[in-house]
Amino acid sequence: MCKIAYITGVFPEGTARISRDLSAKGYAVYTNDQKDCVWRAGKLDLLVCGLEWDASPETAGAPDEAAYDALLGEYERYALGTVQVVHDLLPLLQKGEQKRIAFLTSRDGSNQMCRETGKSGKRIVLAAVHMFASLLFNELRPQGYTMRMYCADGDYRYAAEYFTRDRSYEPEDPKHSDENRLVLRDAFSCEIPW
Amino acid sequence: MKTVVITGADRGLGLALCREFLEKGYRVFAGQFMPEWPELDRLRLQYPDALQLIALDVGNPESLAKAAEEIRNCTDVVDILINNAGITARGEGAIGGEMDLSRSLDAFRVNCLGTMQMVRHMLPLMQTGEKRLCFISSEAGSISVCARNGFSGYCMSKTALNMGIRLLFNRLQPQGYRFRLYHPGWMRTYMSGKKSTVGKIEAEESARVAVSQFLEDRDWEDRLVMLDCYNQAWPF
Repeated sequence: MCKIAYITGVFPEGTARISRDLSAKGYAVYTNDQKDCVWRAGKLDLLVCGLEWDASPETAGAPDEAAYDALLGEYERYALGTVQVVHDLLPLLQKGEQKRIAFLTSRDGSNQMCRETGKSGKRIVLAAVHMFASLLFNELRPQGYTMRMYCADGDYRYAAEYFTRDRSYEPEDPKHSDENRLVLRDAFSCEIPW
Repeated sequence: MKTVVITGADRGLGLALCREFLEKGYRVFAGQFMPEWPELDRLRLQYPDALQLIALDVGNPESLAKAAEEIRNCTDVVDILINNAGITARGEGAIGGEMDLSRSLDAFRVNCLGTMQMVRHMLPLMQTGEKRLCFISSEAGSISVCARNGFSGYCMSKTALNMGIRLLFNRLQPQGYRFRLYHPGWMRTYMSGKKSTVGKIEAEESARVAVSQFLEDRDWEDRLVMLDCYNQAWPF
């Protein structure tokens, strides 16, 4: 059976590009509301959790100026919603061979690179999801899972390649293994600080 | 007399901070979330003129607004705001296990959103004061050295808080605001509901270090750094 990939939460342009690229690599690709198809397939090899959404104008400014309910709503939907997606699909990932979870995110979630004052909703949600990804990695890496965090920021060209290419791994030398590190990378494979 | 507002002052670190500032001669507005807890009332007996108790639930926008109005009615200036109020998110475990995301949302609402709202309400009073914005965060919000596994809405909320603080810093530090981001250490606290018997440091000890950091002048005010109770720096 070919590998199964499921993509959710990515803008249509990105979904189309990544689907096409993954299909070319031999994946059967399902997206968004095709979750039932994944369940029918009985396994999942690659989960791509996209963190792209059109932020509300009410959360586009500074965090102390953001509308209370709007910011709370964005966090519930996109931060905790992402947690729910992963939680729900873990049983299928467990049955897959590849056991890879990828987050398609943004530089906007980097605290240390941030020199701006706005887009508070997006930035706060992304940062929180990055923490979730770190916790997830700590829990699942010992079980053989691997993870990818890709800062697309509109550039989806190399996403599929990054999601599917294995990173260096030496079982006898865990510290010498890139698979044992969770990092944010951009389209050019440059690491971005948390 | 200089003025400090401290949220989550009922017990633990918040209460200890109140005591420290009162001993230094500050006027203290103490955010009281648990009126049934007696410590703040006892402290008020010792400092009837300097300590004012303000009913405050930072997770409730109406309560925040009402508390802010009450403070505005009492003072024209706030020199220091200490955002200490925070909650855990109970019932967290393995990511594949049972999860109660409503508790995680509560943690975000109090720990991050409530803090941002408190800053919003206090800023108008802080413009002519010492402009010290202090935040009790946690190593739990540090992704770079995250060692926990399993789902934690609490960790997510603290990371969210740190990002909110970064955004505030970028805007307000150039206006002369001084930011203090403090990890209080592994305290023997009441976060779980009763005083913990495990932990490396008492709240009083951590409060003494916190106050020294909050009041010191730095020649590196344009850097946002999280320091802990041992004056060690933590990454984001």
